[in-house]
Amino acid sequence: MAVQQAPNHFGRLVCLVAFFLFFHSGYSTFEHLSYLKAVDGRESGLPLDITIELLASVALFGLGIVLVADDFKEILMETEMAKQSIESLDARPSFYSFNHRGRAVFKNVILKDEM
Amino acid sequence: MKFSHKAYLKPLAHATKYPTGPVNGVFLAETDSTNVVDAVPFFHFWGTLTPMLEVAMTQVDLHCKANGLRIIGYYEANERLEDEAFSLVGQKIASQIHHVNPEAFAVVIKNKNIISDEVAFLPYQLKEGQWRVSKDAFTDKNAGFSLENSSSPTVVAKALRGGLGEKLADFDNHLENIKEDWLTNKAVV
Amino acid sequence: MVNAAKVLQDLRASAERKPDVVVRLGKPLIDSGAVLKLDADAWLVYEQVAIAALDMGDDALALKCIQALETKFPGSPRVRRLQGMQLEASGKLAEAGLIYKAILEEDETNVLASKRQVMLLRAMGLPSEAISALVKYLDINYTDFEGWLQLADLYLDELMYAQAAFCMEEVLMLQPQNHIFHLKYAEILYTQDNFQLALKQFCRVVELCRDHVRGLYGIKMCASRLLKAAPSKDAAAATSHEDLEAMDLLATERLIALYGAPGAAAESSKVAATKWIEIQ
Repeated sequence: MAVQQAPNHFGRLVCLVAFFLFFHSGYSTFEHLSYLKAVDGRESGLPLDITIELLASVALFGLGIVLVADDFKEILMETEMAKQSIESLDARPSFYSFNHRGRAVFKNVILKDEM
Repeated sequence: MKFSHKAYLKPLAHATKYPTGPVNGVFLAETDSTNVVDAVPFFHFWGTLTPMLEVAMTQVDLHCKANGLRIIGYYEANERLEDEAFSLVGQKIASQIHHVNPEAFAVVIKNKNIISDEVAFLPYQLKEGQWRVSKDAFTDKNAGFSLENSSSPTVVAKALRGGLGEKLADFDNHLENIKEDWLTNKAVV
Repeated sequence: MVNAAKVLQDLRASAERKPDVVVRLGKPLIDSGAVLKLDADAWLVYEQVAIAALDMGDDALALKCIQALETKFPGSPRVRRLQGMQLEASGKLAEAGLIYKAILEEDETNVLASKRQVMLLRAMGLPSEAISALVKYLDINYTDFEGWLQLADLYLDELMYAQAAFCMEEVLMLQPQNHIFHLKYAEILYTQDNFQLALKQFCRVVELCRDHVRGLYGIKMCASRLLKAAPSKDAAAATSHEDLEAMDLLATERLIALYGAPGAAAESSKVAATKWIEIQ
C-alpha cells in the first residue's frame, strides 16, 4: 500500500509560476511576430528577453515537478515484498471457507452496532 | 483451577481477532498455586509447524521463571464454528506441558459462546492417558474449574464487541514486528 | 467516500482477509448508492463486500450485493459462484454443490468453481476427498501456485508433512522470489527434523528479506540442533561445524541488535528473548 504524502504546496506554486512564464513567453513571441509584420521588418530570431523567460520557465517546471512528485518506490521486488505481512502473502482468496467462528463472533457485534 | 479475568479475556480476544482460522496459546499460574492468573497467545497460522512453537515455549518458560509463574495449561480454538474437539497437535503440546507439570489441563474454546454471557471454555484433562472433557465445568457440580470473577463472560463479551480483540498481539505478530507485546499484552488488560 | 474506495481497493490488492473493515467501509457505499460512482470498480466492490458480509454473517447485505450483481450480469458463472458461497455460508452445502456442478457442466475449465468444490468437501468434513479433488485440479492447472499452497495446507491439517513439503517445492518453483514461501517450506522441513535443508531455507529467507526475525530465529534453532547432534554420516552434504557456528553467531548478533535498539520491543519480550539467545 502506497503511503500518501501530503501535497507539496510550494512545489505546486512553483509549477504555477512556471506555467505563467511559459504562457507569457509564448504570448510575447506572438506579439513580437505581429509587431515585425506590422513594421514589415525582416525576421531575425527572438529577442533575448523572451528566450531567457522561456528557459527560466523550463527550469522552474523541472524544479516544481521534482518537488510535487511522490517518494520513489523501491525498484527491487524484495523490498516491496518485505513490507507485506505473512497473512497477505499466504492468502488464498479463492479458497475461503465460511463455516468458521467469524459468523458467530461478528453477528453479535453487528447486532450491537445497530441497536 | 480458578481463572482470573485476564486469563479468561486473552484467549477469547485472540479467537476474536482471528475469526477465520485456528488459534492457540498457553495459560500461566503462580508457582505455588493452581490459580490461572494469565494467558499468552501463540499462533494464528501454521499451527501444525513446530520451530516457532519451540521458541515460543522456551521464551514463555523464561518469562515465567523471571516472574514467579509456571505454564499450567494450553488453549486452542478450532476454525469450524461448532467444532469443540481437541486437535491432535494440541493434544501433543498439552501432553508435553503435562509431562513437566502434572496439574496441566487444556481448554478448547466454545466458538458459539465467545460473545455471550456463558462461559466459552471447554476444559480437557488427561485421564488414563487420554484427554477427556471435564464435565459440568464452571458450574457448582464441578469444583475443578471456576472463574475468579463470575461476571467475566459478560464483561469480556462487551469489551470484545467494542473491538478489544484488535489490540491483542500473539507470537506470530511479535515475530513480524517485535514491538508487539505478546507476553504481557498490556494494551488489552 | 474516495478514501473508503481506496482502502477497499488496497485490500483487494493485498488479499488480506479483513471482513470487518470491508463491511464497515463498504456497507455505507452500497446502502447510499455511492458505489455506482466508481464505474467499473463498483462491481468489484459489490463482490468484495458480498464475500466479507458472508464472513461476518451479515446475510442481508450479502444478498443485496449478489442481487445487484445478478441484475447486471445475469447468468454469469462468477455471480453464481457467489450464490453458491452464500449457500455454503448458511450451511446448505448440498445446494451449493449443485450450483458448482452446474457451472462445471457448462464449462469444465471454470477454475473458480473447481476451487469452491474443494472447499465444499473440506466443509463437509471430508479432508481426503478435498485433497484428491485438489490434486485432480492441479493435474490440469499445475501453474496455479495458490492451488499448491492450499494443497500444502490441506496436507498440514492431516499432519502429512512430506506431502506438504512437496507442495511447497512446487510453489517455490512458481514463485521463487517470495520469502514467505521459503519460510513456510523451512518450517515444514524443520517439523520433519530435516534441519540441514531447513537451515538453508531459513538462510534464503534472511537473504531475501533482511533482518527477518522469524528467519533469524529459524537459523538459530537449526544451527543449535545441528551443533548438538552427532556429526552427520553424510559429511559431504553437511554444513561444517565452523560454518554452523559462524551462522549461529551472525543470527545472534542480528537478533541482539534488533531487540537492543531503544524502544524496539516491550521490556518483558526483550528480557525473554535476550535470555533465550543466551541459553541457545
